[in-house]
Amino acid sequence: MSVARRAALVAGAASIGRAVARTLAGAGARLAIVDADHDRVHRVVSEIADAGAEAVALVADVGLPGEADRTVAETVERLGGLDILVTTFDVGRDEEFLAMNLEQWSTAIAGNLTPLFLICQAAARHMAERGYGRIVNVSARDWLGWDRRANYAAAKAGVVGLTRSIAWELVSRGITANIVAPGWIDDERARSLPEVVRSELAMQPIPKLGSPEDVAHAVLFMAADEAGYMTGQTLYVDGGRSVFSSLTA
Amino acid sequence: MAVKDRVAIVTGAGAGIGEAIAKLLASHGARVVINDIFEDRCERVAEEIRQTGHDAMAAVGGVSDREAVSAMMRRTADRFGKIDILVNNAGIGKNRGLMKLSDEEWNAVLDVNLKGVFVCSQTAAGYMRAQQYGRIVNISSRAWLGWYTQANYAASKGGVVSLTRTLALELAKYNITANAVCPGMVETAMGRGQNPPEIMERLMKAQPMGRLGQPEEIAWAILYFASDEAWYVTGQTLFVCGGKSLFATPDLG
Ligand SMILES: NC(=O)c1ccc[n+]([C@@H]2O[C@H](COP(=O)([O-])OP(=O)(O)OC[C@H]3O[C@@H](n4cnc5c(N)ncnc54)[C@H](O)[C@@H]3O)[C@@H](O)[C@H]2O)c1
Repeated sequence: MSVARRAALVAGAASIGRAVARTLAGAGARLAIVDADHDRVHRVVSEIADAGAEAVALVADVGLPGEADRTVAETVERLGGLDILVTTFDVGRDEEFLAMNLEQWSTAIAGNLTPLFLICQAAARHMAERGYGRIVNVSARDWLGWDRRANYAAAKAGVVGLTRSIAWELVSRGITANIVAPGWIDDERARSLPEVVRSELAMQPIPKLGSPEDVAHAVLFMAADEAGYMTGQTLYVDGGRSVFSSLTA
Repeated sequence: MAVKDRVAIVTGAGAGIGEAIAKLLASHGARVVINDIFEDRCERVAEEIRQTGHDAMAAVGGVSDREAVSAMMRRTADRFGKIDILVNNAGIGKNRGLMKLSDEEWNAVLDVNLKGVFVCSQTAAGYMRAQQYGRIVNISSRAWLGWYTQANYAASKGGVVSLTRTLALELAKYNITANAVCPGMVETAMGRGQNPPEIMERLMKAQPMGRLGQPEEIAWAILYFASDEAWYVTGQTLFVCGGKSLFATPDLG
């Protein structure tokens, strides 16, 4: 699978970012990982080192002015380029719509979309110059609309709109931009909501939790050289629940 | 993307996209059955795959012919012991403006493109259910969104999408997934059609990427859906269309 020797930047080093980084490294990509959380980045980088590969650790809040540019510049310098960008930002608090306050709204919108815009733009500027790029943004199945997640759904819908716009604007520049939309995945959030997860899974065609590695495998598919004719698309890794939505055909 | 030692049937694999799918699956270690209505095509592709050191079997027959399909599946199970992957790729087009489209042209396209997927999927699902494992990947088309002169073709491919989603729901409990890939214009006999060079040039310009897709680029998506690792992905419709489905410009293909 051709991500071998490609230079990849993974933004966000929590469950899914960690699995993506390990999977890309396992497939032979050269890797940099950025997160605002120092310990998270270093944990993933040392796991990758234990597996016999190498990764560059970058600590930055790419939502702050200048930090995305600095992150991309450092990646390009350390890896000799930037071919693949994968973003896995995930910020959101559950709250009923009628009770949601402005802070909860703003946290989700700013936390998911601002760093996404800045890092995609910084990376795409480099990629457009080189005439090659693969951008994969992890949204969420919840963008279709979901209980207690108006803020998060809106932000994750923003990921879709932004990614499709990047795809369209840069379609003739050798850059593809695609979306992976996970459903219930076995991560900290799912583990903190066992009751909700149990009743949700009962309604799912495949009534199980997915793993971060399942998401990473979809990312790997879209990040490969061979995926060059696919752009602006959304792939749901969600046990089939998305089939019930009119927006997924 | 693990398909190693899986047994895969690819319909319409005697040319074009199907041939590329069969070869890609074989190169990743799957044993493949090459189906087509033309025996010489089946034999050629199967032989070319064997030349590369992989196992392949030719199986001639029309995909909407229930008896032929049953016989093909039986032969596959006899020879390889199981059927893990079915790729419903066989398809035809008979384009004509709506007002002139005949019943014959409607029926012919619906028969291969839609009934063929039903018959093959139903038959293969019997084996897959018994094994509690299966991957069905259907080739729809970007044209299912609706396209000029393709009322029959678009309807057949839209049918493939809704059939795929229903297969996904009904078969999930047997550990069988069903997904659809929707190619844009691909460089094959069907994609190029009988078009003269000046029309081809206009067609290229109507593609956002300025080129047609290659059969191997479609095959890549099939490999993903067919892999062991894609077990949590079902009922999906993935466009591999060079971005054309984002905002199609209404010019030819
Ligand atoms: N080429 C494109 O631009 C394009 C675009 C979108 C979708 N598709 C779809 O991709 C699939 C493959 O198309 P292609 O471009 O490779 O076409 P192709 O014509 O090059 O190859 C199709 C093969 O299917 C075989 N076939 C036809 N009827 C059959 C039947 N009843 N049973 C078994 N085999 C049969 C043909 O003999 C041929 O070998 C089709 O389903 C097509 O609708 C193609």
